[in-house]
Amino acid sequence: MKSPRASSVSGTFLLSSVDPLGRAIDPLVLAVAYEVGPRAVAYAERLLGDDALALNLLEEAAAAVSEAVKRKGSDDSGPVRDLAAYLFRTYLRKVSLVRGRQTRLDQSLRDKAPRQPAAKDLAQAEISLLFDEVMATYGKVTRQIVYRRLEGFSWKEIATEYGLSTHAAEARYSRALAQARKFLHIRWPRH
Amino acid sequence: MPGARTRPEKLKKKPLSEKKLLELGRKHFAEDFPNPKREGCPPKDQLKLLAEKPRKAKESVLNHISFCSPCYRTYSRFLQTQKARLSSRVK
Repeated sequence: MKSPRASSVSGTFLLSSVDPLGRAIDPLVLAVAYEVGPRAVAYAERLLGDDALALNLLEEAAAAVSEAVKRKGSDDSGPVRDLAAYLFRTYLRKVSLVRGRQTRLDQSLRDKAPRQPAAKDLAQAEISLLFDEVMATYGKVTRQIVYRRLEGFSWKEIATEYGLSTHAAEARYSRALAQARKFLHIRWPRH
Repeated sequence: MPGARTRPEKLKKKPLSEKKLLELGRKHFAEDFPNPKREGCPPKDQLKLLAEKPRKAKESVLNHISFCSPCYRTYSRFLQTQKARLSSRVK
């Protein structure tokens, strides 16, 4: 069922100033949520297959970020430098968690079903999630190593660029993917 | 052994090879975030800097390419140019 807030025709949507858990969303964070929302929600919709859920998660992420911004303002930790990226990562984490739960549910259903019709799509979705999780979690160097690997750079080329040993470069990449897989409860994707 | 019965191969799903994993990962970043209005895109020279002098590039540019396919593709082209340069230097 379509959410009354979502409009697939215009591509716009309305967000509430309070999330589904009753937490208030800071007006500044809400403005940023409108900015990053359209693409983020469209992406989450594709993964989760539910636009209402995607919007609820965006509101939850915005409320969580509002709390974090408030907390960071009152203690000694530094302010959030890039609110849009911070919100996007928080949202991605929430989507990943829900998607992870769905994947486990799918897995248990698959175990009972005689065959799985869309294994290829599932593999693509899992890999997309895996790389998004790495991009949302890891530091500058690890993310750049992943991009260079995706673009066909050898370990030697990567290691030279970042002043690492080839083993260290490879270890960073493998560790990032392994931890993301563990976090998302994805086994090595199969096809 | 001649005449021996061969067991039919099990229809088992194979783990993805690293090549396939990288191919699908690249496809994800290059296609899944269309951004037709180019909202929040950094200038091209920032993407070039990210490809050529990654340690000097801004983190916001690195964040941006993780959810903007047009910028990712531009960054990818700069990386390919750099890769070609590196290969020719080795030869």
